[in-house]
Amino acid sequence: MVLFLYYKSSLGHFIATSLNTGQIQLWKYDWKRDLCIAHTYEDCQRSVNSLTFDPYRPNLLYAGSQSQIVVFDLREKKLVSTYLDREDAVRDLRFPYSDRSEFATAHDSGKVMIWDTRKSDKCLRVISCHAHVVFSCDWHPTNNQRMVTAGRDQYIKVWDLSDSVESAVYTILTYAGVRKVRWRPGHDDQCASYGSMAWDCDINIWDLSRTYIPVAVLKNHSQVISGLIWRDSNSLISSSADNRILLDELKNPHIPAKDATPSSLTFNAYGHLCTAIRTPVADKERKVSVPDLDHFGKDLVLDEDDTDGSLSDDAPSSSYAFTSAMSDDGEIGIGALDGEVSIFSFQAPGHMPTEAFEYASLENDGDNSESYSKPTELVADLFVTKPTPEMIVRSWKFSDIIPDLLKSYADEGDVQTCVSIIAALGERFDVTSINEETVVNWYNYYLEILDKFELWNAHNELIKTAHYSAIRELSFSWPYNTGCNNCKKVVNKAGCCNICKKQAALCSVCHLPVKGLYVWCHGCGHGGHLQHMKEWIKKNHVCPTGCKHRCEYD
Amino acid sequence: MANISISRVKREFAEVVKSEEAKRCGICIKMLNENNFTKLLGEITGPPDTPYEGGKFLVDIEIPDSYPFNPPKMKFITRIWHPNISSVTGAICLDILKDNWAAALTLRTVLMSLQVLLSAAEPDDPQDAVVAKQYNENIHLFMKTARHWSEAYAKARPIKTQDFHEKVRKLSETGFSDDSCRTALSKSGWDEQRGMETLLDS
Repeated sequence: MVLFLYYKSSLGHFIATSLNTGQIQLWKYDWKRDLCIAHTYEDCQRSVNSLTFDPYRPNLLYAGSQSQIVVFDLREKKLVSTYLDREDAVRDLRFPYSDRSEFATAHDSGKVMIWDTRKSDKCLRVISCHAHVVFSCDWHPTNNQRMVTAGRDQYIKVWDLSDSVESAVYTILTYAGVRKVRWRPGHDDQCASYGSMAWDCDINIWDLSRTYIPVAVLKNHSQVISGLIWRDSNSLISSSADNRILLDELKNPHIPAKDATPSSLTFNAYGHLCTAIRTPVADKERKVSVPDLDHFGKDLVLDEDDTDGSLSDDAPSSSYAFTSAMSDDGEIGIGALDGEVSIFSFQAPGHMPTEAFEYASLENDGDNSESYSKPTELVADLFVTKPTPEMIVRSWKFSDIIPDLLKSYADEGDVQTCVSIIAALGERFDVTSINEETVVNWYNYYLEILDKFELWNAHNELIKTAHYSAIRELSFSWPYNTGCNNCKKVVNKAGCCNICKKQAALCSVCHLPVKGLYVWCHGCGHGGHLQHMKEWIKKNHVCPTGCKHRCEYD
Repeated sequence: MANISISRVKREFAEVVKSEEAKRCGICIKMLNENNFTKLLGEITGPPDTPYEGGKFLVDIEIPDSYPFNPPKMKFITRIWHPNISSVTGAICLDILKDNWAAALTLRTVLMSLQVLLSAAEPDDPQDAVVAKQYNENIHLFMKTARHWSEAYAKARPIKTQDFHEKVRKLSETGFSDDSCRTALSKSGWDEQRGMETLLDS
């Protein structure tokens, strides 16, 4: 295993390499551009996984091996200290960018340890970061209290060390174990990583504000990547098993967000389903389908020509429908990937947007290669709401299940449920789905039960609401004459007394109009509220109107 | 007070206040206390062509909780000389306030019935036996006594009972109050000697 290190110091240009045997060779790069072995350190017994020069004391070389951390002095050409004597392999060893006395090591046990260079016997703190091997760790370039770790458990985690209890402030789940992760200089929220699996030849650049998809992917290597280092904020050097070292200036990186099919879907109160997807065939196209629940179709294809009229002209990548929402009256709002929102009226001819506005202004610094680094400007979600006075709930086709449901209840002998369901459904019940004779039989049986329990009101209400003529015919009316409570004359059809010109259907006890049950004596025709008449008859034997009739009630 | 009772009394109260007929007959109703519909005060003007003509008779009305299933309790506050009304307590003997109460009756109809009672006494179903006896035996004396009482208590315009006033004044010189002297004289047929004896007996 050879570790590639470019190191410039007052002592000269050194390159340190290590072998699986634990042997570390130090190469000197002299002014004649010749490379010669300056020294070979053989104190390490096991394979060395990590080699670092101390950035603050240039004569020290740190090596993390399978069992310990050893420090060599370049001038004295010997081992000066050993930091760990436990069987915990060191996978990565990093110095922070500003603090001169600390360094961090990543370990096989899933822990990251932070050391003081002056204290070799005990580490300062231990952070349990990953469930499995921690392959890599890196200090944040500007924030000393922040660290990124990556491990075999497919996670990249960003830690906040300011508190005594460390917490992962960001967690990125990748699709494979992560071999190495390095912060991007000049971009506080970005880091580059590559995977540990043999098939994984991509370098991913992540942004903490959008952890679910890398902002850029570098696909230049054909074999597994072995090393990665940022040259400056816009270029990184990587090596891989395909014998190439590449300097990538991120001029035209692959942006996976463009590949992904941004899609969203939403319902409105009519049961329309609106989906906004970008069709993968043509980049300059966004597609909105509004399939009805019953029949699909009605695709609304919006190409660049349509949107140019309202979306800003300098938005070449504006045609990504990222999110969508639909109002109750058929208007569709589409949020584009670049932060613009268009409102389309589905009914309008030509599908021209009726409204378009910038949801969040895109801060463009003029550099095209930077534009992908602003994922926070995305329209994350969109609501188009136009409240309508009443929500119209679309009826769904339930008629297919209803007959089976009814039959199963009928088999159990529960005609009450059968009839109640039919009565509740009313007109929505498909009369043809069940033999009318059967339903009428259920009705008759249930009416009989109600009769038996003397539930006359329920009985009559059921007859009144029935949609079957055979049942409704059971209802008949019988004219009864009621007398005016004032003058004892027969009232007219409107319920008013012809002589008194007053409402006759007043309760003769409380003198208020009777709404509901009116009970009256068939002998004198006087009556009133059922409750009041009951109470009156309990105490008296004659009519409450004083007509002297000895009213009789059952 | 039950809901039905309150709402009915409220409506009947308004009915009396608004009714043109009641106004014409000189019937009105008042509340004794704000928002208390259980205690009311009725006023009946004595009907014309009777000894009570022009008098203002106050009637105490008490609405029971069980109204309208039970009749309102009424009695005269103003003293009155009438066979169906107690000259001492003011209690009224009227069938509709007792057994013949009907829910269809209202405060207005009851007060009007009382007014009718003043013009048409029922000596065969008396409340005050002495008055009823006088009514049956000497209708003329009854009329004059009733008139005198109206003048004395109901602020009726004095017409022709000056001699009775004189007798009451004379008897009251003995130290008895006007009211007891008047009652005693009325009961004894305005015989001063017997009146004096009645006073001393009581």
